[in-house]
Amino acid sequence: MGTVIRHIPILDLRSVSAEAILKIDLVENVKTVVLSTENVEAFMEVPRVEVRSHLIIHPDETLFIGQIEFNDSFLSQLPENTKLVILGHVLIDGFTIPLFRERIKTFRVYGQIVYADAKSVGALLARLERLQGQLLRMRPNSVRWIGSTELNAERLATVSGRPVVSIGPVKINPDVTATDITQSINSMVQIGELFGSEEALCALFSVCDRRLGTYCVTEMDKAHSATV
Amino acid sequence: MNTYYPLCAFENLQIEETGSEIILFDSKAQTFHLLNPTAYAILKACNGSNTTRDIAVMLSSKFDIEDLDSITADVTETIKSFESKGLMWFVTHEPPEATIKSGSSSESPLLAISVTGASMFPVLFSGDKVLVKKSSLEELTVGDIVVWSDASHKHVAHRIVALDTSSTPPLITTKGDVSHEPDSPVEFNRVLGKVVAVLQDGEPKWMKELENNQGSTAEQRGSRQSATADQPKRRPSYTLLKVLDLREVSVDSIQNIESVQEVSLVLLSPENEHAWSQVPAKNVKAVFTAPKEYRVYTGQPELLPEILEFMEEPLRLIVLGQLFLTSLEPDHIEKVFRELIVVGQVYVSSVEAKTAVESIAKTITGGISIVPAEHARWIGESILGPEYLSSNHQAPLVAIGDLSVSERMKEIPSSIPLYR
Repeated sequence: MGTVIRHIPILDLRSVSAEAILKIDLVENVKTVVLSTENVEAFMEVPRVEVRSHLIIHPDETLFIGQIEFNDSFLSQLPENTKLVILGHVLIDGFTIPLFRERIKTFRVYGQIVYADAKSVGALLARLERLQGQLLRMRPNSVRWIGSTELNAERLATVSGRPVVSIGPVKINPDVTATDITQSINSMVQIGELFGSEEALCALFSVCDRRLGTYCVTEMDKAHSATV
Repeated sequence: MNTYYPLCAFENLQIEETGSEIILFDSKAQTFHLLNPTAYAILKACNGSNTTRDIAVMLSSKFDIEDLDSITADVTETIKSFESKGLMWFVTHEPPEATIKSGSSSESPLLAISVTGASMFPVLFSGDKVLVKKSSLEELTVGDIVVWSDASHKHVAHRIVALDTSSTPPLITTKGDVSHEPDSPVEFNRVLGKVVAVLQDGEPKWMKELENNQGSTAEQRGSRQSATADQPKRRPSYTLLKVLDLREVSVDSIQNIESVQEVSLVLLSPENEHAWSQVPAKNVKAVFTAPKEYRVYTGQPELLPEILEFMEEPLRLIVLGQLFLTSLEPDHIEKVFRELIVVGQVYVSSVEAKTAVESIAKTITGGISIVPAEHARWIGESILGPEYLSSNHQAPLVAIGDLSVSERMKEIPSSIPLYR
């Protein structure tokens, strides 16, 4: 019996030897496989199904996995001339540009970059070697909805007129009306699938400055519509 | 009644054979033991898979002695002697629920639990039996592999990444070695214990040995577990990918590819591009040779005029998707790019900007569109309803992908400037 690895969002094989990788019989349903320069050739031999991307990390690169608030606090933790690779979302309200230029030599991002400060992202773009994802502008001081979001009255109440950045699926609660949405949110950047009634979905779309993904009119709404 | 299988604690033993005697040095207890060949044969047979009776049968055959009961009694006594010297563990292969008992951890047998899955590759393989030692909280540290039981009594063997001893009850967070996300924290009382060894084909391998020698261990095991080791090099196929970036791959590996199908963009380096002609490819949208200096952006990037202030040299850029240059003036575009390849569309905000893009672009497969600089942008599947009219949007709408119109809106009003 050989080794089969399946259903993992991120498969981090950086520390696994080439010999060990050659013993993998199958990699299946993995979004990203992370490899080192030492074992990438071995992985070339591994049968794979539904593997969306491969990320090769060089010995002089630093990898971060997960969502990052890319600010001075984050930058100040990095050594000078870091070759940075981020697998996840990068949120930028702004940073000190000389600090960025001192700490970041090159930059690769596999995820979404959402920014509020154009000057900061201008500096970032100048060193961005690879982007697999979106580069989207958000309004300053945005509320973050990261991951799966249930949009209900309580969540809408927390918006308090601030813009919204949402990365991940949003399920609109049946109790939330189109008017609730348009009155609570006046600007939104949304990446991910939307679920809800047709009216609620149209309302949410109408407040989106930037939007990427698909939508699904929920079965509950379809059933409700059929009986009206 | 549970059956316990003796297991010699070879983990801490250094062994030296000197003629008719065997010297054991117990590095943990810092003590020496002298054994005769028979006692040593018994010790070696204590592998966590043999019963006392099994060992007696082996000795009976080896030394050609027929009185099995007598040998069994001798083996039992010898094992007891080893136990008193701290050289012996006992393993139970019964379900953990049947064997967990109160008492100090040192009195508990090791639990043998079968492993399925590959989240601990290459330390643990599917089919292994991990030997779990009941452990106190103080005996656990970050980096240990533990087995815990979830609410449905399913066992999980993962590595500790965090210990929260300040909470009540204490919480332990684990993670599979090849998983990115840690497991949800579990209460300490759900932890069965620490993995101290693994039974592979009935033979124990101690964790220190496995952890220190992952590659070669996997290699040895691969030759036993999988027939692939003696087979010719495997030939991979690539299907349904956006970008197949082969720029850092050797010529040999490219020539070894069996097929490439339904791929939007293949990237090669000047060093390996000649190998591509030998690869069977079907429905590959674009193939480009891009030196390392080329940047590659996938998705819907938007370049801003602020980049000009910080650029050290003009960009050589490959984009797969939609490139938005709507904020750039024509002279910006000429300064920003040295070379531009787009597998997809480019969006600009004026005829002059379009001309500028045309002058610097090597390839644009999807054309150049002019849209207003300020716009709302929906990409993918979208739906437009009457709510848009009452929203705060003043800007035009750029819709890329499938745009549905609500049945509540007979047609798209002219008051919504729409670019599709």
